Amino acid sequence: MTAAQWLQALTCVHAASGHEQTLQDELCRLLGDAVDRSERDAAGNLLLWRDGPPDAPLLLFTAHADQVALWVSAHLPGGFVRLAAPAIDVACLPGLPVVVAGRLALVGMLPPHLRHGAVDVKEGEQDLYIDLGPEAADSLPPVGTPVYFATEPGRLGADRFRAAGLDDRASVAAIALALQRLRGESLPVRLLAAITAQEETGRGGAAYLCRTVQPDAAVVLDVTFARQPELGPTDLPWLGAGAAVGIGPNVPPALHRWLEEVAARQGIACQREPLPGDSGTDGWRLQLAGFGVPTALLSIPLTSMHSPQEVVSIADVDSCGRLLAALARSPLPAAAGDGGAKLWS
Amino acid sequence: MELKDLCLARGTSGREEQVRALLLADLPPDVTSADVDRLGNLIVTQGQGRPGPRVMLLAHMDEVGLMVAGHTPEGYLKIRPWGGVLPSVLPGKSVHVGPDALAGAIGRAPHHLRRGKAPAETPFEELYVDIGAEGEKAAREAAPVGEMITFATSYAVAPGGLTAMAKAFDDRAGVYLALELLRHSWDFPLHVGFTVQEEVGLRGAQVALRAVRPDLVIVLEATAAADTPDAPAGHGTAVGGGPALTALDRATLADEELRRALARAGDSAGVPWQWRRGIGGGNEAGAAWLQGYRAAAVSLPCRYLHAPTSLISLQDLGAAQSLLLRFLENVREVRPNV
Repeated sequence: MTAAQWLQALTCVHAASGHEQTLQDELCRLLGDAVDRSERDAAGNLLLWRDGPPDAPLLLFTAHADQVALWVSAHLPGGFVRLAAPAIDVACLPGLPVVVAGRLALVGMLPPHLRHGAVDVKEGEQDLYIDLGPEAADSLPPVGTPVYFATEPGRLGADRFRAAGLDDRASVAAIALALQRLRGESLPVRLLAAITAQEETGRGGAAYLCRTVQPDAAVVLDVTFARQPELGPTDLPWLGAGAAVGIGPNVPPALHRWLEEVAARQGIACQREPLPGDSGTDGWRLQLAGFGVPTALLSIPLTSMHSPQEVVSIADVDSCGRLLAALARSPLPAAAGDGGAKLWS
Repeated sequence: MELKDLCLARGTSGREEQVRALLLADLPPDVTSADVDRLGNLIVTQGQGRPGPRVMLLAHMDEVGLMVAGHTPEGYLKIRPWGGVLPSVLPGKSVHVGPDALAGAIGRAPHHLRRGKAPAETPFEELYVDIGAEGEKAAREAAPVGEMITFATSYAVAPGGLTAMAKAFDDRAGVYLALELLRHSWDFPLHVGFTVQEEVGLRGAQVALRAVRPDLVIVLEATAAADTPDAPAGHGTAVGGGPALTALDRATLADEELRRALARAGDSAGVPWQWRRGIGGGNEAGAAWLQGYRAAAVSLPCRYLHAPTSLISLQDLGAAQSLLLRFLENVREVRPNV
């Protein structure tokens, strides 16, 4: 499968936080024998294993399975529901087609004709409602049901891909591309790809993963903010210039150098992303797992994050997959973390 | 090792190599072990296996600074805070950029040319560092994105010898105290965690504690002094009033018996000490407390915390050392909590 095909296949499946299994099952099905075994842990993380020599170091890749969603928060008479929209810019919502419990619905909006002069009323979460149609009045989905953007995934021009939920399916696609490339190869590492649960609601899946695995190195994939017009001049990564290698306290220098050196050897373009504090990814938690995990961050630039129209570069996803495969074939850096050195004792 | 050497070393969160190297070169000969974990914490142990409570001192090696975030077409560096730095302290300051400590100046257009009133606070997006690079390419080569920027502040002692001014007393003063305490021979196991990444969320200590699992934790830290003309009355600490003990802050509810024992040690050593007033701020005692350890902090009052130059009293530093020595001498008298 190509990068575009992976993006298409993975964004057709909905997976709000806590509802990741459908996506994870689809991923397993598509990967087939590219992984040696797979399991779901108690927190809902999907663990995909490539076995290696038993004494080989353990390399962890992670991307999160879940996507942001709206949630049904109350029932109204006449086939309407109120909604909760955590982590979503409600400016995108009025008039938006959505999917609730498999049924197409619409975020309602008052037409300009009825606004009595105040044309540009700013709607808040509390004013918004979803219209499921009058026939739904007696069969409204329960409070707590996720509501998904009904965006049709697809290409924009030659290299851009548009869909809802590319945060973090773009990363899941990159991991899938890497596993596909590594199919049947014997690797110098044991490789675990964790497709984590509940990142968008507080990194819950990663918090659990921290207590169950102690990898020798981890590469955490996520999407990151790319430049877009209304942001003006900025130092954010460019769409289409390759994945961004995170630099900051979340990443020991030996690991960001490892990523950059392997990318340079393979002729894979990448950018740098300055992250002087919390990286906002699963990696911030993973780094403190057990006695510490040398963690690298690799982020796919994306515009309009958490909106119904997230956009990535297909070339970025493809090159990110190639870079991950190359990392799994390379020896881990000797000075992972700070060497884990026992100086004397 | 002098406090001066520690303050002049450069190390933002996750970039503590220089401080760690200084410490490793000057550890007392009788320590049992010195380990660097995978995060970069340096854990030094003295008297491993001896009976008695296993005491762990925590002092963090990292300091706040800036990160190179981009380059302008003219060759200036764009910056972001690496830890809790306010943009208002930056205009007109000198900095060191990257591993080779290139000289840099944080620019500020002259007020003559500013139309209207100058803004009270220039946001980070408008601040820049001038390293004299001619154009974007030269700037990128000299200082790539991600490089560390630290304050270029020398170490000075005021006439009279009681007041010191430098960068990074938070927490090189704590590191200095911990190292001095290691120079004594104790009859119980003493562990010192010289930790990483305190300034970005009390992170290194969480991992260091797991490796040691001590009975008692004492955090050595610099804390905000609020004895300046612009500070609200009744808060913080006063420089010259001795080390500060904490009952409660945003991160910790200090172990009752432990903080009383520290107060008794101060009284018995005959040195001044003070309570931290107000409940602002937080330190690694919070990280320890949340993991279930008995923890308290001894803090050195410090003016202008997280600014390019901060100020402490060397008498306070000496008093903190005396208090801690007396506390450790009597540590077996600290009663169990349950």
